[in-house]
Amino acid sequence: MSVLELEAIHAAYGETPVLEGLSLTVEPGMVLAILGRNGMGKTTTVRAIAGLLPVRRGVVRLHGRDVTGHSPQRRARAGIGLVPETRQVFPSCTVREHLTMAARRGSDGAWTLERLYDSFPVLRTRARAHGGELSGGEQQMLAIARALSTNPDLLLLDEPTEGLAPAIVDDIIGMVHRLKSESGNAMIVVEQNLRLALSIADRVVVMSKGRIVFEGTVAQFDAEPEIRRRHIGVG
Amino acid sequence: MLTVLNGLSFGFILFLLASGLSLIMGAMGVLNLAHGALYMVGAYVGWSVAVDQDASFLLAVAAGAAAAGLVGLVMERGLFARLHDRLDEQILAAFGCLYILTDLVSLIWGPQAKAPIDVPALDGSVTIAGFSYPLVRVVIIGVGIAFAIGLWWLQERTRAGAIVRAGMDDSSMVRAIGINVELVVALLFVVGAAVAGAAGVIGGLVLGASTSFGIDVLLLALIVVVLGGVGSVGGALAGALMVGVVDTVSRTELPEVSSFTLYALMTVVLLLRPTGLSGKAA
Repeated sequence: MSVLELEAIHAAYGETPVLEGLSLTVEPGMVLAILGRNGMGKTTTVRAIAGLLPVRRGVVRLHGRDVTGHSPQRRARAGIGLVPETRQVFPSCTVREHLTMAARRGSDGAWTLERLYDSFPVLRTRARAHGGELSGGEQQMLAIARALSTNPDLLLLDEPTEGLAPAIVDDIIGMVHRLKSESGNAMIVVEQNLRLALSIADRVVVMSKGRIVFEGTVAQFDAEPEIRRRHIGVG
Repeated sequence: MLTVLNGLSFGFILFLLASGLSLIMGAMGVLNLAHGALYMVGAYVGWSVAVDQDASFLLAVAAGAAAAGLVGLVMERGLFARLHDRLDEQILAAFGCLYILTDLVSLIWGPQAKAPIDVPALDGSVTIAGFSYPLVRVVIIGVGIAFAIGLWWLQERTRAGAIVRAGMDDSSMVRAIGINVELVVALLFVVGAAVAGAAGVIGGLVLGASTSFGIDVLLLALIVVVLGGVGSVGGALAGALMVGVVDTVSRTELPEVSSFTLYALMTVVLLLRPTGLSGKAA
C-alpha cells in the first residue's frame, strides 16, 4: 500500500491559488525529489501534506486512509515527520528537549534518544544548548533528528541544505543517504541542490505554477534536458 | 524593614497571580483580562470556607483554587476554545467575564469588602535578626518561594514545561511533531485559573476580599507581566517582587506620590529593557 497519495489537491493562501490539482504517490522506502523554481508550490505541497495548510479540494491519503481533514498532530501521529524549510527549532528548548518532547510512535527499532545521538553525534555534545544557540548546520541536524524522534513512515525534508556552508551541506547529504540506506524511510525531498536531489531520489517530480510538469525516474529526468532547462534553469 | 517585608509578601501574592497570567498570555497569545476576577472568586470562596464555615485554612485554599479552576474550565471550553485565533473576540470575551464575575460575587457576598481572614495558628510573630515580623507574612513569603521553585522546575525541567515553551516559540511546529497544543493550552489555562484562586485565598490573609479586586489586582498583575516579559517565570518573579516592594514602600514612606510610582518604575524599566526584565519579546 502506498505511504502517501495526493489526489488532485488544491490549496491556496487567501485568494491566491498555489496548488491546482496536484497528484502524486509515494511508495514505502521510496525517495521522491520535488524540483522546480522558487514560488512554484514545492513548500506549499509539503505544508499541505503535513496538514499545516488546509486542502480545499482533493484527497490526502496516508496508508490508504483519508486524512484530508485531519490536524497536523493527527498526521504526525499517523507517520508524517516534517523538517521545515526554515528549520523552526525552538529557541527556548534544549537540544535534548527537542528530541524527548514529541509524541512517539512504535517501539521496536524506534528512534530512541540514544540512537538519535549515535546518528547525530554533534547533538550529543550540544545536548544542553538551546535551539537559539546552535549554528545553522546544527539546527538542521536537530530539525531532522526531531522529525525522526516521532518515528515517521514518511519524512518530509524541505530544502535541507539551504543557506548552509559547503562542508555542512556535505554532512547533511551524507546523513540523508545514511537515512535512506539504514532506516528505509520513505522521503520527500524538496531541494534546490540538484546534486543532492538526483543522487538520492528514486523518482523526480518537477513543479511549475502549482502543477506537476514532469514525473519519472532519475534516468528519465536526465533524458529530458528541456525540462531541466525550462523549469529548473541550471545544468 | 517591616515595610520591605510587607512588600515582599505582597510581591509573592502578585507572583502567584501574575505567573499564570504571563504563561497563559505566552501560550495563547491573548491577555486574559478576567485573570484578576479569578483571583477575586478564589478570595471570596476561601473567605466563606475559612470564616463562614470556620473550616481549616488549607481547606479554604483548596476550595478557592477549585472554584477558580472550575470557572476557568468553563471560560476556556465555553469561550476561548471556540474563539480560536480570534484575538479581538477573546479579549472582549475576557472583559465580559470580568464584569459578570464581579457582579455575581457582589450578588452572592454583597458589595462590602471582607476583612482579612484570621487564622489563629498564624497569629504571633517571629524574630529575625533582631526585628520582629508577623508570622503570617513570613508564611506567605515561604509559600511564594516554594511555589516559585516548583513552577521553575515544572517549566524548565519537565517535558510539560518544554512543550509550553516550544508552543510559545512556534505552536504550528509543535503540532507538526504530534502534540495536541490546544489541549496543552486548555490545561495551562485551568491550572493558571486555579493558582489565581489559591492566590486570592492566601492574599485574603492580609488583604481580605473585595469586589474591586477583579480590576485592581489585574492592573498590578499586568504591570508585573510588562515588567517581567511575557511567558517567563523568572521575569514574573522579579517583576512581582519589584512591584510589591515599590508599591508598599511608596505607600508607607511617600503616600503623596504613591499613585504613580509603579508607572514611573514601569517607564524606567521599559526604557532600559524594552522587552521586559526577561528580555523576551512580547
